[in-house]
Amino acid sequence: MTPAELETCKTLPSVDGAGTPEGAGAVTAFWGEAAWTARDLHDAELALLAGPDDEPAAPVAPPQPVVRIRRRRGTGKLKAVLTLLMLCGVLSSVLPGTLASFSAETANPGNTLASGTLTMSNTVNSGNACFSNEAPAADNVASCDTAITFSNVAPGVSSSTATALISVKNTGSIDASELWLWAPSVTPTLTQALTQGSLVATLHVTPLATAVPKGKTIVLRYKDGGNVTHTQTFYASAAAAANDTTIGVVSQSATYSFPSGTSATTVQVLDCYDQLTSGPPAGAPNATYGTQLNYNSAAGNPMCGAVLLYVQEVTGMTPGNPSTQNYCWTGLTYGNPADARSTPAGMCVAPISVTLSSDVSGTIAALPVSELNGNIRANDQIVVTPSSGVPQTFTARSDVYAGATSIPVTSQAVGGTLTSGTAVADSSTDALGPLAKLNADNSDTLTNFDTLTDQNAPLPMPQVQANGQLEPSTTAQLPHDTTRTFLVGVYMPNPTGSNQNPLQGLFSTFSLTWHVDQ
Amino acid sequence: MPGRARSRGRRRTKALLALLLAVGALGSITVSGTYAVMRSEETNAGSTVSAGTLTLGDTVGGGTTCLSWAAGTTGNVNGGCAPLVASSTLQYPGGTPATAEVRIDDTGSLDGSSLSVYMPACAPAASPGANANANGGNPCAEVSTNGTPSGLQLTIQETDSTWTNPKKCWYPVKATGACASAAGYATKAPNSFPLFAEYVTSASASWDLGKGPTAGASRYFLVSVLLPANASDTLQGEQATFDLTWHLTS
Repeated sequence: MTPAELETCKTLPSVDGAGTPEGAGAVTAFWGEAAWTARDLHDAELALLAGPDDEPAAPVAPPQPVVRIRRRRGTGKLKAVLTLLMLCGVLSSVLPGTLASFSAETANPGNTLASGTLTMSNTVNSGNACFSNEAPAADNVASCDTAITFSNVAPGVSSSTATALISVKNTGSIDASELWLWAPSVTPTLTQALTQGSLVATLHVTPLATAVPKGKTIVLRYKDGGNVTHTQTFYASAAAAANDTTIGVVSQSATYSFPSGTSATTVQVLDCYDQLTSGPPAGAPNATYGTQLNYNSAAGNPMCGAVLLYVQEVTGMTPGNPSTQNYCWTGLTYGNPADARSTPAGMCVAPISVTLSSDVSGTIAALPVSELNGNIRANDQIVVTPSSGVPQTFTARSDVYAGATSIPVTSQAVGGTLTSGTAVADSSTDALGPLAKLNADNSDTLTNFDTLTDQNAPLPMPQVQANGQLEPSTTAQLPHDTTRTFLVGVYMPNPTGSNQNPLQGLFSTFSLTWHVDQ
Repeated sequence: MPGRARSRGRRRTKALLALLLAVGALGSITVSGTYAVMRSEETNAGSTVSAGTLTLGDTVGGGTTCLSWAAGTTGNVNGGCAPLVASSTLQYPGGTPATAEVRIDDTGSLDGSSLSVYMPACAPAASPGANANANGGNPCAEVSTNGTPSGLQLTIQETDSTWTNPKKCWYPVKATGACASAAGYATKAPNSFPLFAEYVTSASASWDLGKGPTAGASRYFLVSVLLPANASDTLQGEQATFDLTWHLTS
């Protein structure tokens, strides 16, 4: 109803005519030729009560044709007026009263609803923080610094390990209930079935989310009605670009009739893959390299299947102060199987490769070293190797976690002076030492990590409350403004009796993805 | 008519309620799918682990370098390198030893942590042209004359790159300097060849030659074979054909 209409309601005549304002049409309605008086209206009401319009009116007054005509025409008008009155009444009861009744009102203006943020940063060693919210694709998914670049590796020695400290921080305003770690994989769907026994040179799949480099391992799995999983592994024979719908593979016969278009058939393109080095490493300009040699091959990604990966949480670690929240998330742990040495909680089998931080001589009970990049168990054999002279071996007195800058050793006289900067490492001949343990490990490889820990089966990472002990899963795994730090390491083992020559001149490429959810 | 109107009204009500339900359901689906989960992700991509190379070069007497990884070889083992000595010069007791200059190069990118040598094969035979006069002795086996060792001698002497300055005697005794002047050399020399042929026959039972060479570096050895002055007569007219293998580990 418009303000004008409301005004009409306000100015309608009252039935008894009392208190009506003066002015045009105020006392009378200009219907018909004569104005209606209050009395007329009263009579009309009586007439309405008495019966239909066309019934004879009660003889209240002598009938006069003119008046009757007025009365008949006026009855329709009366109905209209009454209808209008009713409408006004209804409207007045519905619409906020402005004049007709008492009223009160309060307002809560300016309500706002602001969303929080869930962003993270990623820092490798002492590098610059990489922020998810600064990703070029503006999708809060960032590609950050490479964790490890480890070249010219020989297998099975203390220098066969490389580590990186990766700090993941929630830089948003919202707690992340979950923190996940996985190896990024590509998981398209098979769009063309394979027939058992037929030669397969191409896999037809849904558009690839990302490119697939040549050589990548592609695992097909199908769980049949009998709950038996059929698996076959292929290797990309050529690179495939993002959005491609085919992947060329090294030809082989299908070992099973893998159906297409069903989630029961999964295609998993593993992350890690091998290539041959195409030039000598820095510092050895005339040395042989991968593509020159004839006894090595990247086919089948053998180095990914040999190099071991370990990820140990070291949140809170500072130089000289090891973390008290160690947890071995992936990698070999002590105690499985148990041996004659201790089983430190939360400790991965992670070799050390450090240097003396000051000169030592005389009889010593501790070795001052640069920040430990691995762990030590009590009774581990620690070898200090001068650049010239005879190596000296010490026995660790206690368990020592990564980050420590001192290794307690059984009191021993040092032959001469071992100068600052001298190499300190685990003994390669210590049967229960970390190198021997890792050399016998064929489970914690990059390939196995990729296979078991992709985005479809990520590694959940509850917070660590003490060495080897996790917080309840209900606790936010990465609260806002919180940083968690991880020691990521790789080791190239040398299994006893094996010939690792086929791995010469190969290099493996791999990635780690950290993911938080609200 | 009123009943039909009521029925129509009920239908309208039902339709309205159904619509509300649908909206509610859609709303709940939309909310959970669009707004409920925030996430963030970062990848440390492209980490690499590169294995180095450990390859060996073997040069005899300044000839062509024989590479462990050369074409035609398998498994980084080249069994076709040049022989150290030839029987063109017949040996006699106390004469001039047959000596070969052997340069061992680390042609890979990794330092050799351990160099060793072994003799996988040694076969006796009559010397060419001396079949009728061969005395039947075995130069690959220990020989004694009146209880005194009298078999072939083998010496492995490391020198500098000029071959003239002895650095260390590695066999039959380990000592700094020249083998000939090493303590115990005189007593250990006779039969040192057959002892080597008998016991130092594989990589796992090889004779240690110490560390290195480092990547890109070389080491120089003089390998000598000699009939000692007291050589057994049984060795007359006999020859030994032997292999010597150099083994480097990282």
